[in-house]
Amino acid sequence: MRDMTRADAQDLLPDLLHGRLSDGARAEVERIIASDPELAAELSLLQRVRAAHAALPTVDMSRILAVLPPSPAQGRVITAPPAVAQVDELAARRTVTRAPRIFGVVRAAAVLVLLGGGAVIARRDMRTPDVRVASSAPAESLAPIADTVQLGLGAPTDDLTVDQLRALEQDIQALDGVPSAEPDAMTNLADGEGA
Amino acid sequence: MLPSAYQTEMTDLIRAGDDAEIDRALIVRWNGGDQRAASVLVERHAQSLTRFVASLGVPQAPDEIVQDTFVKAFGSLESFRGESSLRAWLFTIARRLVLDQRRSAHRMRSHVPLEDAQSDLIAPDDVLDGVVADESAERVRDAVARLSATQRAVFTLRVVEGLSYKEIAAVASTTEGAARVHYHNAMRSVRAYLDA
Repeated sequence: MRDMTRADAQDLLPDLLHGRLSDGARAEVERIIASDPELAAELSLLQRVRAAHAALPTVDMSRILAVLPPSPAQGRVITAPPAVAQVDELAARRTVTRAPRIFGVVRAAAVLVLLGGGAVIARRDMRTPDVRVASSAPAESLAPIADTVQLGLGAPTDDLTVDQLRALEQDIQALDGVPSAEPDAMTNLADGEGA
Repeated sequence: MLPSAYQTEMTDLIRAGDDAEIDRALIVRWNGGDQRAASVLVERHAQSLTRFVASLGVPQAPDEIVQDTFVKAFGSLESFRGESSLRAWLFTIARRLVLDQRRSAHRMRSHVPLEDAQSDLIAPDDVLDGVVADESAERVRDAVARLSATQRAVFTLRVVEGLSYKEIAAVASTTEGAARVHYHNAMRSVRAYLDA
């Protein structure tokens, strides 16, 4: 370790002033100052500068504290409690994981509906009495189909469980004759998926 | 007033470490939801910040700059990485706020060169008007007030606040070497003024 030079000591005068030197460094600086009146005068000047700037108006701490933002932890509690955050996270996961499964089932249902519609068209072409019965079916026989159309179009399907959708699929499979309005539902379903 | 138990805890903490360590510990506490840590941090730095801002010379009360400094600092304290000391960081924010305020005032006055505006920054009228015969405190302040903006900031931070050259470099957006040169040049200027 090299000896401290005069320039080093001069550089460290403010640190000496603020008591920031180690014992060894302070002793060395003081030794150099003792033999150098110019450095001693400079230290004296620094003391005067510091003293001249020490007397300033006191600060109103309460005024500052009043406008400080709350700590981040407090902010988190106010805006998003952990329980809510967990629920949101789970909901997001649920949406992400459920969506493909639901769409798969809905797609399967749509294919079945399309097949059913095709059958109706084919039967119409054949002009069989069964088709007339189907097209003039009473309202209660249309009820499940109306549900199918609604379910295939969007949000309400989110509320159905997979089992319900499977049951719905089985209902559709069980259908023999489908009214002529059914192919329109396919158009809507396709739009809904494309959206 | 802080509760006595908390005050004791803080006193122990302050005894235990150096300034930077204490600040870091207080920041961790504040980030963890301890709002009282903010009081301690403000108490630790408000006085020196006010002194620094006043030494830069601002048209309005330094308190407002100091208050804005703390608001800005606490607003982003969660992301404070501790690469510099909190104190140096606070001084940096304060200095930028002062410069912004000066630039804003300059724009309001218009057609005053930026250099002149920065000269205003370091020369409060009340200090420049008060020339006295002897080397009183006012004359010493006058000597410092006549320094250039950068010299004044560096000199004040070094002599009045006791910052290291590394910290000063961060505050004044310069290098340690340049900060050292500014300090010694300022020292010569102050001495020359007082000896005249």
